[in-house]
Amino acid sequence: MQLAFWILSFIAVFAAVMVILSDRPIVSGLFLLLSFTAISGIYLTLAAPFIAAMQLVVYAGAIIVLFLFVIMLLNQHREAPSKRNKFITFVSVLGAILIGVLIYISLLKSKILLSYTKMSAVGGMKNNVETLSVVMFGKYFIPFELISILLLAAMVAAVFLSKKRV
Amino acid sequence: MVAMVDYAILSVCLFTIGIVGILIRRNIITILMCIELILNSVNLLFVAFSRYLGNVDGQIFVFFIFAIAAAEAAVGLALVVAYFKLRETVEVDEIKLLKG
Repeated sequence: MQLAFWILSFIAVFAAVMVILSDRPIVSGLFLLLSFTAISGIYLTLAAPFIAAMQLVVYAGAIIVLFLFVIMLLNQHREAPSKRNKFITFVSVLGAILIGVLIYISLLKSKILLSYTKMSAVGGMKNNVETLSVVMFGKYFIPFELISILLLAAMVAAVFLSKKRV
Repeated sequence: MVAMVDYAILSVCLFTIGIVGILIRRNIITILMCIELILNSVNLLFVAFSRYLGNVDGQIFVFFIFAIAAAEAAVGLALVVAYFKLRETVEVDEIKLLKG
């Protein structure tokens, strides 16, 4: 379990770095697929097989394919060289990394998160899908129905935006 | 043994990489990909805490975030395609129609 977590998290972070370093969108998209697949494996180490399957179906199966379709449709090869001010870009990236370091330090201050025994001690989540479905169609029934309205609205918006004359 | 804090640190790493990507990339499709990366880091934290607390509510929230991410990608990419048909570019530095 431990070895699987470290290998998968290394793959996920490496692929994420390659997504932002590559200047060809199609390469970014394929590395994003690798990152999502690795994160799906990490969900398996967290005993969440339903979420892992949904990650593969929704992200790797639907969203990435949508991205790759649009990249091929728009015929994107390579980004043009940047005309931005180098200093402003450098300072903003530094600020973003500082935010990450701040969150990291605040995590290390937390005593509960550092305990090694708690993580494996959790039982009671056997048969993940059954537990999940009871909660989803009981306590979260109204939000579940509202999500379907949101998806319908998104579908109508996408169809409307891609009409010939808007 | 993997502790909770390891999952949290992995999530922070992915979140920071996503933010940096939004700042340095100029292609709007790649920026949308970085937003997906950030949503994924939040999902990872939700699932890790759900495991840690022994409570499945976090996984339900991840399910909802999947649906919202799919809707966001569909609408965002439709906007990109509509803009490309209008102006023949997807570089964010060239998109300044609203810039007065």
